[in-house]
Amino acid sequence: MDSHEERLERARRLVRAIEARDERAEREAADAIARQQAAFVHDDLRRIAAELRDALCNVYVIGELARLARRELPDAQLRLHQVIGLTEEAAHRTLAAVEASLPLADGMVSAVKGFLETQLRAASDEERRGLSELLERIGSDAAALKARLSEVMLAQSFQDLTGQIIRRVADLVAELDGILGRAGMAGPASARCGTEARRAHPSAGDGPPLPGGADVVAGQQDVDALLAELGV
Amino acid sequence: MSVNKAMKVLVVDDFSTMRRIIKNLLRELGFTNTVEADDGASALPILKSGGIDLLITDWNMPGMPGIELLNAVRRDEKLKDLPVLMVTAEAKREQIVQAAQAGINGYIVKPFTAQTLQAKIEKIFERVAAGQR
Repeated sequence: MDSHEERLERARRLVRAIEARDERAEREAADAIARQQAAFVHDDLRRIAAELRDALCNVYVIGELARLARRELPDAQLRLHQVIGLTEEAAHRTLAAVEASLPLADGMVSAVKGFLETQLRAASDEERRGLSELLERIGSDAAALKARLSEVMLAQSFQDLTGQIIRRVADLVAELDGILGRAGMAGPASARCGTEARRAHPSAGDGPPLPGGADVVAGQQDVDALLAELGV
Repeated sequence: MSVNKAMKVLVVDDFSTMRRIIKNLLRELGFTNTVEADDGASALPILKSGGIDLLITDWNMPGMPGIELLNAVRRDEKLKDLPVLMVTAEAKREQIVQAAQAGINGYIVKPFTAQTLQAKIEKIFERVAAGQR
């Protein structure tokens, strides 16, 4: 906006032109004042337009939030629990196969060993060496096979870790759903999922740490060193 | 190393896959006498009814967490000397210190190996045999 002096000067010019009965000067002075008024109105319009745009944005955002609260959040919770359920099922299937394989391997190995040992007793010195070598190889291969099956079994333990992480995210979604519900954008999430945001026990723990988390041990060796320091 | 293979082990974890894996590992190590619970609250009555020789527990469980279960065991006159092995994803140094102060006998961070489980169980019973916790 122009200064007080500038506005006063424009008014004085208009008064002087009227007093001097100078119509051209009067029109020019009046035009200058009108231009100033138009600039004021323009500024106001621009401000109102900006406010209107912000208000419309908010209406849109609130509408989107309400839609998320009603439809997407309950689904998100169901999907997260579905992931836990499906990975659990996959892990159990693998475990069942490993559990069935271990005695099969044992049975096969002891049958072959038994056969070879019988053969060994009746074998000539020449055959004996080959049979002994085979017997030894069967033994070490069987141990290696059992170790691999044990690895397969232990790898299923990652389902527990991913499950713990996903459960934390599901809890976050449930909490968000609760907050939106209190804000009047209630979604039927809790009713549909049958799970409310789990009120964490104060000593419930945090689940698997994020990579590079602060004050976190790097592995079992770190744990052992720390426990040794503490006399455990 | 002479750990009594007939001893009864209670495995506490909210994930059924993890309970099944630990039970399988124990069976491979020769321990076939196992029972299960899915959190501290369901484990405690089993412990109190007697006969458990080793408690293997997770930390992070809905309901009663493992650290609370450990505290409850140490407070109980009949259970206070029970060997307790924590098998958990909780990896903060302060948590391990907290468990040590609460009287844990061993602490394994997930993911772990069969060798680690065997070594920790043996170490616990070596110490029990030597008369120290």
